[in-house]
Amino acid sequence: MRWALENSVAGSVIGCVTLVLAVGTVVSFTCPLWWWLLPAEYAVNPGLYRVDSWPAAAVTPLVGLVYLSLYLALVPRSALWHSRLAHRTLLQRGDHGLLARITQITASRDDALEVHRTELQRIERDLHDGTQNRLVAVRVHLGLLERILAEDPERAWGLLETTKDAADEALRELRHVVRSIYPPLLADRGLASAVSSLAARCALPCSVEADGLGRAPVAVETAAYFVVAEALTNVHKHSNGSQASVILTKTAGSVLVRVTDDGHGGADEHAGSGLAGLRRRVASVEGTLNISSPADGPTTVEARFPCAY
Amino acid sequence: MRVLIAEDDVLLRQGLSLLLEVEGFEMVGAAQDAETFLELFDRHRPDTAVIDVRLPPNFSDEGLRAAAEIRRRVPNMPVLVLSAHVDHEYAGELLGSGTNGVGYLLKDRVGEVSDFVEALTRVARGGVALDPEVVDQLIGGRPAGDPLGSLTDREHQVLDLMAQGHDNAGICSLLGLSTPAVSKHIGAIFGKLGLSGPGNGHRRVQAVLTYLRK
Repeated sequence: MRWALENSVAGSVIGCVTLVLAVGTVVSFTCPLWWWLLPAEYAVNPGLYRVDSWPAAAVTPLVGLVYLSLYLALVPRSALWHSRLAHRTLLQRGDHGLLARITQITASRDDALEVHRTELQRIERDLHDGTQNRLVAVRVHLGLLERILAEDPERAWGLLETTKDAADEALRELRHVVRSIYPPLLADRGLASAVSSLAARCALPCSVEADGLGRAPVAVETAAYFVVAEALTNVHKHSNGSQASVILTKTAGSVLVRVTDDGHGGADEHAGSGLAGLRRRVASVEGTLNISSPADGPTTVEARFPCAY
Repeated sequence: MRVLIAEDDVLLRQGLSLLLEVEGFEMVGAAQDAETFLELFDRHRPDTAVIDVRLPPNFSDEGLRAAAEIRRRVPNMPVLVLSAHVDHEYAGELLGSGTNGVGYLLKDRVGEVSDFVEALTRVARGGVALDPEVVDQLIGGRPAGDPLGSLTDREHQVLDLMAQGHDNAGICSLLGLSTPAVSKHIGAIFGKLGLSGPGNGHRRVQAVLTYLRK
């Protein structure tokens, strides 16, 4: 607002001065060539006098020199001053400033790329060390079965069972990996459903409140989902608590996710990579993460995501 | 029994058709998408249908919607839905159209042929076949003080099987228990959960599912 006002006033003044000086210079230098073409009542007046005779016209190039030197002296300087003024006004606006915004976006982009990289690495590891190995085992067992089926049917039956178990294990792991990449329920039914499914799979009793949540942008839903997933895993693994509660609310312009347990507290963000990774994931969509975990509990993990894009 | 299937993957479609034929079912058709499935359904009016949840064109929940659609056209039409992942939310949507003749299983279960055939037969006769993973979700994550917490381990096993849709005879053979023993456990479960009299097999399954979905 302030910039709009300053810029329009300064811009108009500087623009007018520049235009007057430019036109003055051209008119003064050239008027000896054409002043006599004009009727006397329309005679030009580039300086302090009317050009209505040859002597007057002969002096105008001198006036032109004055215009030209004023132009050269003033125009570049005022342009520079104008740009500095705009720069200063735009940059001195704290959190709302353009510079601050760019810094913020750069940081969240870096977070997003980092989250992306670690995720790809984890998925590669899970598929490579888990699922792929299981399928190799299935294939090896099938090869073996082919060899011994005729000679030793008794042993073949046993091997068949092992092969089926290996295939089942591969499928179980694959489902787990798929859910950890992007839970199908999240895509089909949204955050509230996906979180209630997480709660149902949780080893501890877990209540979910998600009234009137509706759908949020995919990036926000995904990040919010993983906040709940990670927080519930931590409750189960580290908090020694007996139950957890998840609250999802949508307020004007933001989605709030809160996971609370009844455990012993004292969660340390710097001890493991879980919470730090979570903070990065939240930051990648410009959300904020607050973790409150006093020594005697309980632990509350709260994430707020702006979603008025 | 005349069966219609909907599965987009060629290999799986052929495998499933072959398996069902070998097991004595009459295959009336095998569709690769929901639209074809509904056409074939109207043309053949099968006794039961087996549908994959994810079908072309969007591969989200077309199969689930096709299942709901045929149950709208023919109330209580037996349908078994297969999925690469299962969730109690989808199960709830399926059961929302009535607990008669509804099945919802992980695709992996097809590999255990006799169990799969038994489940499909149960669904075709108006029963229920819910995947154990769905039942785990329905039973797990309950708050402290829930009556479910007071069940013994054995009663939990019986409840699991009931929620999966098994009748008394099925529970007896799966757990290796006698009929009176199973009846006793069922009576105890119903008492602890505050459900009304056991009734017959399907009514019991309904009562248990209604309780678990609360």
